Amino acid sequence: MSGFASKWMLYAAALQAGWTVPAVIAWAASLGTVFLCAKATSAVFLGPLTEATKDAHESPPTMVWGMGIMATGSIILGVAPQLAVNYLLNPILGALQLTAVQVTWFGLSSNAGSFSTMGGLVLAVVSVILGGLIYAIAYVARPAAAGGAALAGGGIFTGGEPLSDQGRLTAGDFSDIFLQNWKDFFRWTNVDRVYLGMWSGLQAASRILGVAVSWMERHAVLLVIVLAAALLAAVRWTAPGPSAWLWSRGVPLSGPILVPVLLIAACVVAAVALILAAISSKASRRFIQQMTVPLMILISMATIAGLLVPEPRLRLCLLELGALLTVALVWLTARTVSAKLTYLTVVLISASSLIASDLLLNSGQKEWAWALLVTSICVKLAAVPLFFWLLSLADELPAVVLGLIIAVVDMAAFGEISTSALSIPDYYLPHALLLGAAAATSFLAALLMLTQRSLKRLLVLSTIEDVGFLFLGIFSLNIIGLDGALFAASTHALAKALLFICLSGPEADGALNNESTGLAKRYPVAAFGFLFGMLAMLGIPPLMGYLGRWRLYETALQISPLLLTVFILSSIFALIAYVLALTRVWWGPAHDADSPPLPDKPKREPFLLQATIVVLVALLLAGGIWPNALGMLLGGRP
Amino acid sequence: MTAATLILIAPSSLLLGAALQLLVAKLCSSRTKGILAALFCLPSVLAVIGLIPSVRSGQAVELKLFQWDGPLALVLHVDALSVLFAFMGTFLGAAVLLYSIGYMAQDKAATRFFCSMLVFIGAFVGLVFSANLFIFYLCWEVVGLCSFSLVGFWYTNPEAVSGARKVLLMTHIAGYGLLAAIIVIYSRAGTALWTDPAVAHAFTGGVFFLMLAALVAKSVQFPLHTWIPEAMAAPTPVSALLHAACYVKAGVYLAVRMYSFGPWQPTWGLSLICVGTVTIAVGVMYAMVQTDLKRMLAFSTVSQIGYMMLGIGIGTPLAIVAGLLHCLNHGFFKGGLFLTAGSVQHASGTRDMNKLGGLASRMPQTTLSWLIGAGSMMGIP
Repeated sequence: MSGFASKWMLYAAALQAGWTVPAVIAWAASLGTVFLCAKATSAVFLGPLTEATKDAHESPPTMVWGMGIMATGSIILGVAPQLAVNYLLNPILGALQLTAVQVTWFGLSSNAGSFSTMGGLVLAVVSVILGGLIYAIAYVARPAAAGGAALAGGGIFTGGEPLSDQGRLTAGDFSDIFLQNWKDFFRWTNVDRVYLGMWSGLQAASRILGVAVSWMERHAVLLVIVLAAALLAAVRWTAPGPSAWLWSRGVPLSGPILVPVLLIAACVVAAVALILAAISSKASRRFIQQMTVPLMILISMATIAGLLVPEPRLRLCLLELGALLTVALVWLTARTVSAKLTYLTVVLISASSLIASDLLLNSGQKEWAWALLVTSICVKLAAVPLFFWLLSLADELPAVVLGLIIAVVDMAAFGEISTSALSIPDYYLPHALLLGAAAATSFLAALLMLTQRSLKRLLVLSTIEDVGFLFLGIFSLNIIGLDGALFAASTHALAKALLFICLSGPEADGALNNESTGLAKRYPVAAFGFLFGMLAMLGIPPLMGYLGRWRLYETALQISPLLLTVFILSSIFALIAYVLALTRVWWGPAHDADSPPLPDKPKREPFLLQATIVVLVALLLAGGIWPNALGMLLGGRP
Repeated sequence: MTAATLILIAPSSLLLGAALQLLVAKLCSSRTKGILAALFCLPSVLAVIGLIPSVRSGQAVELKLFQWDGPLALVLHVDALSVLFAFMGTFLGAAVLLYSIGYMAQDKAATRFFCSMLVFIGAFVGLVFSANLFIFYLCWEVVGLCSFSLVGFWYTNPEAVSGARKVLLMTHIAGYGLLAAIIVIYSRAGTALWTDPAVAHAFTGGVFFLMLAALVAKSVQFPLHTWIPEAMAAPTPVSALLHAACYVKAGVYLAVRMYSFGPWQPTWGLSLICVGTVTIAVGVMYAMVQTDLKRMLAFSTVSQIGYMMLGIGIGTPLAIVAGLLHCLNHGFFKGGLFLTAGSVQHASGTRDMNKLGGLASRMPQTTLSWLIGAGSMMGIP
């Protein structure tokens, strides 16, 4: 049979090349394989029938055919391995410029020397004959079985230990003996203990950081003002931006710079999808009565119009109008005054800094303009050290409102920033402070994600984690980084809209809380959408996020391998957090003893919501599978 | 039919079959969907077999299709190594799909199952055909995602959920090593095509060890092997495909493919020998103490793949052929053993060997299949 040829050739090759110890270990392991196969054969197929097997019968024909094909292949390869060697394997050696190997029937290789050639066959044949003889002797000498069942004791050699009352050694008996005698081996080779230790360490670090961030959330208004001022001062005096000669080179490119069509399209799709989700949701009546939906439409219109306008001042005004309207939306939907005030403070600081930056740039105060611009970006996109404000809103707002702020308003703001990067390239120099802030934003947010139970907080932190990547692209100022950031921002708009829409159904039904489990049973389409949305956010192919992420990793490597390491680590943390959320909240049994049951009997998810989710998933997949189609939409980049 | 056409048929037929599964989801029974899936795998098998004469004398067929992502082109490079693994993926995949017709006949989620299986095999074929490393990584991850979704196929079962989580985390985290290695190569060589000679200069020790991390996890080598027993909550055809053809073999393919990237340093082979040898011992020891039939087979896979890594690490022609022949043999015997285990579970409702016994009299054909598979794994001539 097939394993003989390959194993024998391998032992011979190892011995020929001087690797005696690996050859002996491999041979010894083969004895173990013989043991475990004998054990399984005996336990499953031989002996008396059991309660589980008494009604067993042969499998349906297609199953038997499948097994038959495999078995036939094993026999053919065992008898005539030269077929595989000559037709499939020697050509591989040819491609690697190595000499071909000669193999004959049963796998005896002339390359392995005459002793190996003959000795292998002789040993193998002797083994088979001896094995057969032992079995035959044991069979003849077996005790007479009463009623067809084997008797305890008698002619079976057990090594001295008494047989248990089931009349034969079971698989478990063998295992127990082994586990007892080799317990040190199993303890030392159990590497899962190491992984669990690492996981505990990460969780502890995440919890400690979480305590600090909770304190910051409680004092969000004050801290936003203080930290924004500190950031402004730090950037103004410690990272003063481009020097005079660079400014002189920083001639804006001719003609107006447009926001790339891809990002505009992504924001439009995200806005429409979120509005449709709000309309189709169970909470739609409340949303309409509270003016939530009309405000969402107004905000979307102002923001999209801003992205489409080529004139920079008008664009800025429209985008800031969109941002100011979101204050009204937050004021209507947030549960606490503190959240409302926090958001108002953020929008005011961000908008005033951006407008002041624009005015100062034209009046020649370039260092101040630069510092105000960086401050505005960091505040608006919730970068380190200002990321806590967005987190403080997470559990305050309905999912669709949060989605609109993140997927449309914030990504549109990023589009505006990208146009300024293109129009005055020297404005954005790779600076250690900014790149460090980008890396820290991504890393700390991802670390915090590890201990989140609330899905909305998780998604907000994932946005902050991605903002670190966007900053990397924009502050690296190379084409691959900028392209990567634009792909990432477009993915972010679509994927975040999708993720928040997936939460909107369970949230409207009151089924979304920190103890929710098994939501996929009741919301299968939302669970499907969440899976694809998270994969897109993580940059896992074939989703669209891959296009942005590989470019941004490449950008990080061009700056420093350390930077690449930090960004990969943050991606790993985010992956762990998302996978835990998926398997804890969406998959698994519908509910367990510790979690409250779902409030209503299962119903179909609204058709419009299902359709919206499916369309967003299709777009994210199509973008990832056919990126060049998206590349054509990167219009506006020179 | 030209070699280029055959190359295109191999993955396209599988992906078309997957698309068809979605189209007929509401129209056909589970059994019909299974038959359709197996039928759409057949052209792939024939196309791959048809490619053997084109690569038999050691040459390769290269096919540039179109620009895929900016500077990156979709280029396929099919040589004998690609054909060997594509043969394993499609042929063994077809056998598993044939088996699944009966196994999944009563399952309501057959569309999801067969669609994922076809994409799984198609992505594996894409992986072994790809010359562009970014597309290689894409296929690598698609294979991983299909495995994740199939291990978690019964997603309300806590055991399946836990298994799927572990599969994705352990293999994807290590997969970042592969992505980092590709990015380093692209950054240094200015090309993502491994067939470009410039890649040889970029293929340094750091790149090798980053790729090694990814393939160790994918091929269940020590110390990243602990996800494989947890994946046994999957439907048995998935376990068979995972072990025999399309998942753990991706790591073996990468290990051998690295010989094409550039010359190896002696320490690289040594590291592979060490990993393989330790894995052989650890895998078989854990296999011996299992009482769950599928978990025992899973740990034995860990051990058997160690043999392949040992052969590839030694690097002599005889050792490489031995490793690859064992890879092919393992595909057949382990595939057969898993399918047999599935039949046993199908008939008795359990995989616990303590509760089984006497099936030789009730399931003679299944017993014969087991004996051939077990005999092959033991190395009986």
